Amino acid sequence: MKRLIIFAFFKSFSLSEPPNELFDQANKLYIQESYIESIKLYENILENNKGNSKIYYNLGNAYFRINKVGLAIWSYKNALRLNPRNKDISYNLTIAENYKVDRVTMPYTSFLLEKYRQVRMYLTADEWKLFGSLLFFALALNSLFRKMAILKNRFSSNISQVLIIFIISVHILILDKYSQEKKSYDEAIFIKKTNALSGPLSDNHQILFEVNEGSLAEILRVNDDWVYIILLDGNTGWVKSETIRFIK
Amino acid sequence: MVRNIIFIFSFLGILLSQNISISVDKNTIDEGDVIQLSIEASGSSSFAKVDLSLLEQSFEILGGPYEKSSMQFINGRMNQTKTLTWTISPKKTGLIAIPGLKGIIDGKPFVGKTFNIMVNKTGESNSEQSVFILAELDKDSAYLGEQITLTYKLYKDINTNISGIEQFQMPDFNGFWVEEIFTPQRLQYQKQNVIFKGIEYQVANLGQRALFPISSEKHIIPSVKLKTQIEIKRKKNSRDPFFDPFFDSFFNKTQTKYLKSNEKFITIIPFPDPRPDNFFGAVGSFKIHSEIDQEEVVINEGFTFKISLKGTGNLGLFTLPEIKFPNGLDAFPPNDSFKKDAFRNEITGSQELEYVLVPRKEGNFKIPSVQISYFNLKTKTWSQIGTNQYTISVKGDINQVVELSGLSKKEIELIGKDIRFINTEKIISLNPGYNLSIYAYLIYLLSGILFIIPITLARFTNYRLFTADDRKMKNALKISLKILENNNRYPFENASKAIYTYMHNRFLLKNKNLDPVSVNEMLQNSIDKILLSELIDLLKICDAGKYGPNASVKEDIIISKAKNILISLNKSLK
Repeated sequence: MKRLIIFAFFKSFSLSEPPNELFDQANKLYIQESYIESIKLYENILENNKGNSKIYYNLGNAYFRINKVGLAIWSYKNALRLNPRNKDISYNLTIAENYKVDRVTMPYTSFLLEKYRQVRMYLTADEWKLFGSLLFFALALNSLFRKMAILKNRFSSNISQVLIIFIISVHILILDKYSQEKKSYDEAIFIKKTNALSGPLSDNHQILFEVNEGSLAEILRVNDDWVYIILLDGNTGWVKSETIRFIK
Repeated sequence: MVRNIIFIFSFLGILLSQNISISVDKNTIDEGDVIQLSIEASGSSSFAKVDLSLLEQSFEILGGPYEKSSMQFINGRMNQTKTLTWTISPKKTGLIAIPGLKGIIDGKPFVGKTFNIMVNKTGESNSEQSVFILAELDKDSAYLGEQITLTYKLYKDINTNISGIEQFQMPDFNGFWVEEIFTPQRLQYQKQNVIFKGIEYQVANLGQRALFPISSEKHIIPSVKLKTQIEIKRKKNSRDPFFDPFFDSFFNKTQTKYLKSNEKFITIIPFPDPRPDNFFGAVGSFKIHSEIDQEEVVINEGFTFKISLKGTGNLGLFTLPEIKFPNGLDAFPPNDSFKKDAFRNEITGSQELEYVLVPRKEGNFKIPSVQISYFNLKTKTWSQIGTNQYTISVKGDINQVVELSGLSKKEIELIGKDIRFINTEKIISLNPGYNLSIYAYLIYLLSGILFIIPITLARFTNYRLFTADDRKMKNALKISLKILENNNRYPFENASKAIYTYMHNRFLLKNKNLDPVSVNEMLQNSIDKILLSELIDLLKICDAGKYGPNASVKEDIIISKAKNILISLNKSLK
């Protein structure tokens, strides 16, 4: 047990140093309007390090400036996953989405589901985990106090009931959030205009539909350098894997 | 034994009855004639499978295999015959051998015998080729993308009659982009006869195509094949009145003849160097024209920009270059239209691109001029054409309600707004979530410990950190004083309730009814007698309540008295 704790602490502090020098350099390049160079730097940072929402956000801006709407949307989505309450990211994402050619109408969702999604979106998975653990801690304290009879009235027993309900629902939400994040590894954004075919070969398959950059697709299957995708409106087809970029 | 012999004989009978014969309908033919080759298998239950690859070296298979099966009963024995027939035509003249055909029938292989066919030369040698097809080209060499007009023509001697031609298909022109110029609905001869090699012919157009060579290894005009029925006039020398020429037509014989045009080759002339950068494959002569429907527009209001390319040449083989519009000017994918002028031997038409442009910003926008180069076939040089450059001034009028199709209200609000600036703050940690999840796990661990601690302590050390009873005893005074303070309406009841509650809590008495006597018994040994008697007196007064003597006087002091007694009781009990 002790070892585990030590290990956990050790791990939490042994994270690599933030690459602020490179980041500053890339930001300077962005300000000087040499967007392509700044993109190279940002991508380089992301290649060697774990993501940070600021890097993804700035990368998205740079892509947007050179009219790569698909890649910009990809970056903003990644940024928003790491920092869901940032207003700048969501604002830029809506602007970039506005430049998309395809306007796939989202399937209708009920009001409650919409609210639930907003709540789920409000915290990151780890923040939700922390929240859940704090609730659990509160329950533990409450039960300790009750045992020690510091609190022993109807109010405290109500609290523990409410807490249990909260804990169960929050943990269900955490599970859902994790499964959604797991799933989002199979999500991708189109980074260029491409034709979706009926099979994974360009010669003898028919073109089913055309997808413009920026569209979100779910990956169903991967076959060498071809992937089978499904769009939000339910259309499925095979595209070359180089035309899409997976959301991390 | 006898039975065995009979069995063997009957088996032999089956073997012998299976008979293959290969035959042709004639041994001597004229060039262009056809031969019927048939393979007849009697006594077999299925058709023969024949390998024709040897035959195809010197013959062309025009039709077949046609399958025919017949059944015969001879002396009560059934005899089945299966016949396969091909129509073949020799590729050469002279003596040609039909090789021994190999095949399989009912699982058994067979080899046929060899035939010799004599093919007599006709045509040039006889100079009496009465019917033939010519592929006429307007030129033998061309640039890539230059139009070659191909006409297949049927030539017919005026003395020959063609009673019918079968539907034929135009061959595939590999290496060419093909535009149809003329396809006849029926065989129709030109009004004027043509003299070809000194002989007068009637000519019918079988179809005309415009061919544009595209880059490919070979450029071959393939031959077209046609099956015709030709009437052959009998040459009768006898002056038999019955066979007078008048009756000739009744006795004319028709003959099936396969006609074939010769293959032709096209030489590609390379383009002169240097090739311009903006050459997209246009060859011919073209004019370009552009048009804009308004030059002053309001922000977010669409206008159209049209480019049209008119002329003669390989329109449709190339596309106009994509235009790079300035930032802030949204271009929707253009409408592409292509029109072809009919009734011309040279492909002439127009290609039109229509862009809908929506300015998203105020200011002046320049629509660049579109320059393309084409190879001018008349001068054999490169020519360049271009559109005008336009300047459009966009006025900002955000107040105006703009209805743009496909955009929701929220999206319209966003039009013309820019993204927010980058975040230049320092990165504190690369993965902010990572630490959080460690804290979360620690808190889970801590909570788990909190759950377990009281239980384990109680079990293993028999020591209770605090028990509910301890707490009750400690708080006994507090609770009772609270009761005294709370309710002043019934002071007597209140005072006694406070004291009894104190006793309950202090000595952990559950569900025990207390009265002054039992209290006296309980406290006899633990507190001094003066306090005890005061307490008992008080309880007695309370029992009597307001019906007791001097109740109204005692009412006022009873609460404070009870308080004092409780405090001193609590003190002495410690």
